[in-house]
Amino acid sequence: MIGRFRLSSLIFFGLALGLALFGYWTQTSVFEVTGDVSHRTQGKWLVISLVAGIAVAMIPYRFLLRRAYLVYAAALGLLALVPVIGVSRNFSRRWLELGGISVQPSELMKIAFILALARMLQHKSDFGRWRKLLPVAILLGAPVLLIFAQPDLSTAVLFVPTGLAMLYVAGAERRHVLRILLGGLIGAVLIFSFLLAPYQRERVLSTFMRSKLTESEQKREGFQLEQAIRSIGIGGLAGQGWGQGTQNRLNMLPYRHNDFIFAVIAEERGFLGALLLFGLILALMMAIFRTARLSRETGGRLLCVGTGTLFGCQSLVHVGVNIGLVPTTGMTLPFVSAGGTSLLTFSIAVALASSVARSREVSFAGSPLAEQLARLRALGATGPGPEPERPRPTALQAPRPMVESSPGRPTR
Amino acid sequence: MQAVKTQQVLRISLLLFGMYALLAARIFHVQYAPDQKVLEEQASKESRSRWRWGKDLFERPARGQIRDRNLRLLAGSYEDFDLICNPNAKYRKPPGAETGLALYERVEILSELLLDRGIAHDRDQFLIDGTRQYRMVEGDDGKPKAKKIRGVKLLSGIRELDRAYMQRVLVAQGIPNFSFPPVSRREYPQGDLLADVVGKVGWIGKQDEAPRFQGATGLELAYDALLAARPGRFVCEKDGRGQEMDVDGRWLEEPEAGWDLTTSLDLRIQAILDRELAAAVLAHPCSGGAALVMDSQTGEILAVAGHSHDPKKARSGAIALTEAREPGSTIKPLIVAKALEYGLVTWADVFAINGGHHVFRDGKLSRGVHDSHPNGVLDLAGVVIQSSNIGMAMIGAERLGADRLLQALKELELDRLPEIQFPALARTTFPARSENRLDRAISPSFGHAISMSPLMLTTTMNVFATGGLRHEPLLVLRAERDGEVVEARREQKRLLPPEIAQDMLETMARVVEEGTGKVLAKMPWRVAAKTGTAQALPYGSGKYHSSMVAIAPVAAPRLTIYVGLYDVHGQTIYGGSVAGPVIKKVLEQVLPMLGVAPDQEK
Repeated sequence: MIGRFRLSSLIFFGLALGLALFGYWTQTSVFEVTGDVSHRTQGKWLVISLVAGIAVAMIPYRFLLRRAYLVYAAALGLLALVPVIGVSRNFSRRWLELGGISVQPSELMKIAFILALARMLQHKSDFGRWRKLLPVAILLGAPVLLIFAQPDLSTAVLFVPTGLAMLYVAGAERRHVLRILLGGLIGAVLIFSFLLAPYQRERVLSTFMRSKLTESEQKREGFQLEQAIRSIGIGGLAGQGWGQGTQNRLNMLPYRHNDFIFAVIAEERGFLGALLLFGLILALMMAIFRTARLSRETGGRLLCVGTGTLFGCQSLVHVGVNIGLVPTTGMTLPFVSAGGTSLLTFSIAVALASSVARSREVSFAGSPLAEQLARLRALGATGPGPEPERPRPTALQAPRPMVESSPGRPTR
Repeated sequence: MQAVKTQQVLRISLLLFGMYALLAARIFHVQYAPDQKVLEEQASKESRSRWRWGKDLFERPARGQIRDRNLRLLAGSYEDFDLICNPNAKYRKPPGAETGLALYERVEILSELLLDRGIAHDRDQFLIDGTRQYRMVEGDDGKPKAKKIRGVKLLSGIRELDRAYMQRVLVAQGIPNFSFPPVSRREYPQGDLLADVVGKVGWIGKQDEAPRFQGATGLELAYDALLAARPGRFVCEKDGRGQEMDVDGRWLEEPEAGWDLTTSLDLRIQAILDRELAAAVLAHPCSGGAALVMDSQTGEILAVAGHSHDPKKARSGAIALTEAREPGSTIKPLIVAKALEYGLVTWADVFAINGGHHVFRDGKLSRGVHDSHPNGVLDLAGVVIQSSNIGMAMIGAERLGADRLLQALKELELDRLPEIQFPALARTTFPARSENRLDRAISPSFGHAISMSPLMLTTTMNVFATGGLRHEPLLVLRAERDGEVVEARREQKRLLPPEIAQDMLETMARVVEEGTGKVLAKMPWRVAAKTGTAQALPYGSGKYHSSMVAIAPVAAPRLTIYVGLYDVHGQTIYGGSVAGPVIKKVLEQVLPMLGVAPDQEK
């Protein structure tokens, strides 16, 4: 078990640390140009996040699940404080200054929401009636509304696919999910028509319907996108080299240390660097979803699905913004962008998945990698002697003894 | 029952993986198949180029100089720097320093630097102005409110060396509050002398137009197209702070310096003419005066002067070119010469003046003419020498007639503007067709009912100095730039047969010796001249335009000079006694300066 624990934890932490160091390396290239010293702050956050991640990974996830509502309430409390005592930057009030540290409660809410929703759904299998979805809607709606009011539309929107994915895995029927998606679409149109600020509407239009904007609007709201696309275009196959990106050196791209860091990577590391980044992101996602698939306990599975979806969607949105597929919005690339709270949030999220993986509820038997490693370890220990005895699978490690519910209407 | 949904997990992960594949495809597209629209936008950026003077300060092309014929500077350009203070500029303490500098200390450092460089300034005022961070403005609600000061000019006229030194020190100390924007300036070292002829410039910096000096008056305006320096059109990238980068830039049009103009003016003659005219204008009750000196053999204008009697009045230095007045009797030699050319009079003709008054009749028309100096019988030369209006009226009315007289004036090219470029050159006006036939024949013959500028009169009278050739007047001799020289075109045209011109010059010499121009008689040079005393409008007001045109020396004419005082009244009104002394004094100083040897005993 210890060997398996080490392997799964090493995979999670190795990939996360790899992403974080890749990001830190890129950030230093940006900060070298701007003459800022924020990479020191980022370094501190890196250490804090690593320690926090290891600490959370050591805690059994069920312990956290039991206190999920408490965590959710605390995070919601912090979120509710933002409009009252929050700090305003760039025309949005999203931060709290706590003891000299700037914290973004909406980031912490992501974890709290996943925990609370997993707690709520872990024993729920009947979603036959709409009213049974009401608690889920309240759990989702409260943070979404508070975050939307900050205003931080993109983060608020991010809660929706995360919640939906968890709901879907928890056993909600496809028609429910599709209806919610349809409702979401209608809601999006209504929000676009009536609730969005002019600048937000311009951003959406500048991505999807550029010709509808006047030239000055295009310049105002399309500037970052234009510069980001130019940065990515300049990169070519191998990139211009660390600290050599023309757009980076010339300060063309605002907020490239966080919201547009992918453009810097693509410019300085090229297509290959972007693929390497994608590789790391997908590997981490794969590890999280694999843990979800192999988990035999619904709470752990839902935690992993929530974490994986959140991580995958946020990365998607960040890259999508950078290449002009998604309206421009301030969305960090998990682990890679500068930003302490974001780094801490995703460290905890990955640590939760790691905690699920190391729990006894997960079966790694049948995993070719685990088997081969076990074989290698046995070989190394005994030398080229007689063939070592195969470890006998215990009942818990049996390949797939799980009982699946029948597709269609869930059993009662 | 435990809901185990591994298939759902797989679907979600596959969905996300698919989206990542989409992203990778898009990145590939951006990097290897750039959008045609993006390429077009890039290409169209070239049309958004900017005007630029040069890559650095020392390459800045300057507006051309204006010089006199001896290359003395009349107008030139130079660059210096203003000192602008932004008291609200963001200041960070220098790395390694324990404490930063207060704004007051930073301004004080600059003040010390200025003293070091020997740049005088009021230190206390400097510290007050440099540290004032707010000013009160009227808010939207009408109440006063404080507004941050972003830039205040503390000094101007800082030289390049001082700027470079001070900026180095300020940068070393990390003081961001001061900037030294370059300022183009136009200087006129001769001050008031020739100010109206050389003119002035204004600064224009309109959108979509090259920022530059724009000539406003005088030669600066007339030759603006040549003098103006043109900034080039430069295309370059800008960095995120909006600063232009020269690395990949290129010139669409190179910047061009202006052409330097060499005028025909001679500062030495100008100074003499100016001084003598000013003295005469002050000495006589008049409204002002104008004077012009022309090189007899080339038509080059050597000096142009103009003064008002009342110093409070607007400057009038160029009125010799821009204002037309009735020339009076100075025009008589021209009309007599044309009558001689037509064969309508001869030198042997005599004119019965019959006292001081004569009435001309033509059918029902009648016109009385009066002579100020009563004469009996005069020959043709006598009419010119004694400046007899009655004699001239006889030539005009009885020999030439109104139409022939007008034809004569036009053949003398009085109706054509000189080809020199100068703003608002005065045109010659002729008697109106509405006036009766007799008046049209009589009035112009003694210089009434027509008006012309001193430039026009001098240019035309100069035909007697050149044997009948009219030299086109010249004010600018050549334009030069980078070794390339363009000379002014010199034109001449025969207006009178040489013998008539020569005879008339002799007659004008006799005007000095025997007639109305005796003031010039006792000079070391033999001078030909014609005086004029025209009644100022309205006739009968007792004011006269008193003028004189002289050609000297008669043997080999070098100078043709015009002096006229306007609206003269009082005891001394005649051209000979008002304008004559000015010409005398000018000739006495200028001819020796030009190395013209005396040709007669005093």
